[in-house]
Amino acid sequence: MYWGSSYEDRAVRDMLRTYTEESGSPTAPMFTPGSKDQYNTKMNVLVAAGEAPDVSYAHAYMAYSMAERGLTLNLLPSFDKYPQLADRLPGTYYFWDDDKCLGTETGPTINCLYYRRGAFDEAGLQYPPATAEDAWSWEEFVEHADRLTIDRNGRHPSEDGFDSDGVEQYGVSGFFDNFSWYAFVRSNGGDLVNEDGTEYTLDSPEAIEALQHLQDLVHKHRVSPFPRPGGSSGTNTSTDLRTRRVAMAFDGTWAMLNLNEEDIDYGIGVHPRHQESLTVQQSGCTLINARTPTPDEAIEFYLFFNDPTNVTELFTSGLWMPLERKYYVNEEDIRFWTDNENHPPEFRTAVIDYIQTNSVTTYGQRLRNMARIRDVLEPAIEVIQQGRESAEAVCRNLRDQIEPLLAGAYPNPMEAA
Amino acid sequence: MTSVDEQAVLRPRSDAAESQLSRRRRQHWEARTGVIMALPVIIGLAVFMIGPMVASLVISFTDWQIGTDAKFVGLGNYSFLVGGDPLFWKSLWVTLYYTLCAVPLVLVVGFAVALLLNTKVKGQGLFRTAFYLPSLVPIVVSAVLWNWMFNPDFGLFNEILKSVGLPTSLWTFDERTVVPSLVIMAMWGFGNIMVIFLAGLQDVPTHLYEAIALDGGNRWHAFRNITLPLMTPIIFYNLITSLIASIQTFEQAYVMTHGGPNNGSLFIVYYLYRTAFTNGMMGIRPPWPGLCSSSSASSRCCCSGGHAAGSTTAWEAHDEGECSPAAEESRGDLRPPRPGSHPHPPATGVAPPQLGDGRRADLLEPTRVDP
Repeated sequence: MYWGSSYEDRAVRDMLRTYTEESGSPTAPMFTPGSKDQYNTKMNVLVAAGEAPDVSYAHAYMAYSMAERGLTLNLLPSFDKYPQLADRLPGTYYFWDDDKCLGTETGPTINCLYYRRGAFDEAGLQYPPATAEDAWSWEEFVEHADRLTIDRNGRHPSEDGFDSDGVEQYGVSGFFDNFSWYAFVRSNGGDLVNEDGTEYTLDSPEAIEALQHLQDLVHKHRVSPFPRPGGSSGTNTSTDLRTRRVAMAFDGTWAMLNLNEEDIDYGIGVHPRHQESLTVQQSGCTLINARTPTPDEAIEFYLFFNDPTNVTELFTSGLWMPLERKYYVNEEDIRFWTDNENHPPEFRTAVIDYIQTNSVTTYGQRLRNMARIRDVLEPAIEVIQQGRESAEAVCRNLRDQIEPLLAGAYPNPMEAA
Repeated sequence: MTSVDEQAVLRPRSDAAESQLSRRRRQHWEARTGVIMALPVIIGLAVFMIGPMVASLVISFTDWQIGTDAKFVGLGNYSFLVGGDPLFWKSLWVTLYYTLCAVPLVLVVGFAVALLLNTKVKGQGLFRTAFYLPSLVPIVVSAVLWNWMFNPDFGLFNEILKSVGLPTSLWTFDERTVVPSLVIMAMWGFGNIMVIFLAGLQDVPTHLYEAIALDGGNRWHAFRNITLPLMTPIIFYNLITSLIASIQTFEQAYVMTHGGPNNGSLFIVYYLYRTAFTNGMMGIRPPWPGLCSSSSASSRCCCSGGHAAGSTTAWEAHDEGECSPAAEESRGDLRPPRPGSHPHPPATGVAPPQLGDGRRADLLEPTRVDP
């Protein structure tokens, strides 16, 4: 069972057909268009009915919850038999205990800084840096965002007479979406919790400063449209760039699919640095039902499904990134999925190198009890977005709400190794 | 053998008996047919309404996560809802706030427009269709459409406000304006209520209006003394159905806001859906802050502190059954103890059990032994 766009649905169905032809094992696709509430609901209902699919996507907190209820297959004993399983990017593994691995990410993604080349050309600015070493400082980033924000009279926010109610183009958007804010907190040396997930730390000076910087982009520097509340429908990166409403946008690598399909002239940069330039790696995972009558076939299908040679289009289109390490280090393997018109030249440094050296997995993939933690964390981030309370006040108030919910972190022996 | 006279006397009696029998048979047939005809609805009601309601009631007394075995926890879930779950009260308030704003407004607007459309004006049919059409638009479609119009930076509403020099709003992007925005959206779909009002207005006898006109009454008198009293049952019907629909509001939160921002649109039905079906938590899993339960898997219990929404919940571990005032007093902080220290030395019990890696055992998901 899987979610995604109609494009992803078509590609997965093709892959399933190929698998059935090659292996002789029947497959039945179960597609859910919505990736959020709808998907989890369907999964829970199927579990309750005892009809959970053999192999399925799952959000991190759902996957861990299912694993702890004994509903997922432990893949760790199969690592020796299937070496491909053991040679994936370390941050992609989902362990619910030291010796219990429920699977890996479906396809790793990182958040990038997308930009419309035309906006930079018109402003006479250089494109954002595409390597971690050359990353903008925060001040440089704000300055560029200011130059790219233009009101109907051609003024920038830092100029007198700027009309904030008549902005034609904003400098940047998306820094609160999809865990993006967490990348900035981490890049400034802060974190949501301590390493073992037992102590709240978002009220540290570093975390507060990073979040205040993000709030200032909207309410002080006025270089960003008002951030949408988490999860609400509305605009997206491709629409924002195509309609020239925004010059730069933070979003996941999956956004490349729409950017390519809509033929937008875009580029990719790395995150501006606080103490360092960092991004977040994130993805839901793919898991195997513990009650599948055919576990071996399920694992073989799992590997087939994760192999870029079997679902090439999903990787070459920009939607997915491979799991196996060789696709990030071997020249030939890198070319296999990136040597095409859908991957801009800077993809190599801004994504392939960046994910290996300057990315951290999100807290959502690391913390226990996330279903409850997000119930209090996400509303608090929305309060920061709204700008009526400082980041400091919100983060300090959040301590009493989050600490009772902290139940530790999941291990990832692959990262430790 | 009976004589002719006797036959003459008996025949009417026999006819009467036959007629009675026939009537009974017909009544029996009608009753049976009625039951058969009503059976699909009765079965539907029993299977899809009463059954799930009873099941929900039973489940509400259990600690059950989908995929695990249910455990009886008595009134633990209710105790948690009332005393330990700030989101429950928040969702109740949001639903009440929305209902108090939306229902009167929709009724007044629907009634006013129905009054206007009940007058003989040119293009009456066109107006009726135009006002009714929005209620035919599926809620998901209108939710997506309105979300775009509400966008504070690029939406239609703010563009209109800017063009006439009025201040703009954050609409659904601000927790203070999200419910009023959804109320405005609800008013757009007043067509159904308007049609019912219109049908009622057309049933008001015209001779009453003629009578009040002869007595020198004006339009206000006619409305106050004829229209309003005669429309009371219709108003009451619309009020009840609108209240029910309003309390069941779900789609707007589901499609547009996901309950945000800052839980500002967390309607009770959406919160219920999110907890039960998205998170798979049909019943909560004690021990849990604010809950006092004797069926804790780890033989410990938590106590309710009568928390207000957003306040800090208080918890302290102690042995089962020790929900004493002393234990209540000793409660302070829910944070898991850090290695080598305990934030509040337990006066009446032991620290929350902690695993070797710092995890708090009581907050972990139960591990199921797979069959």
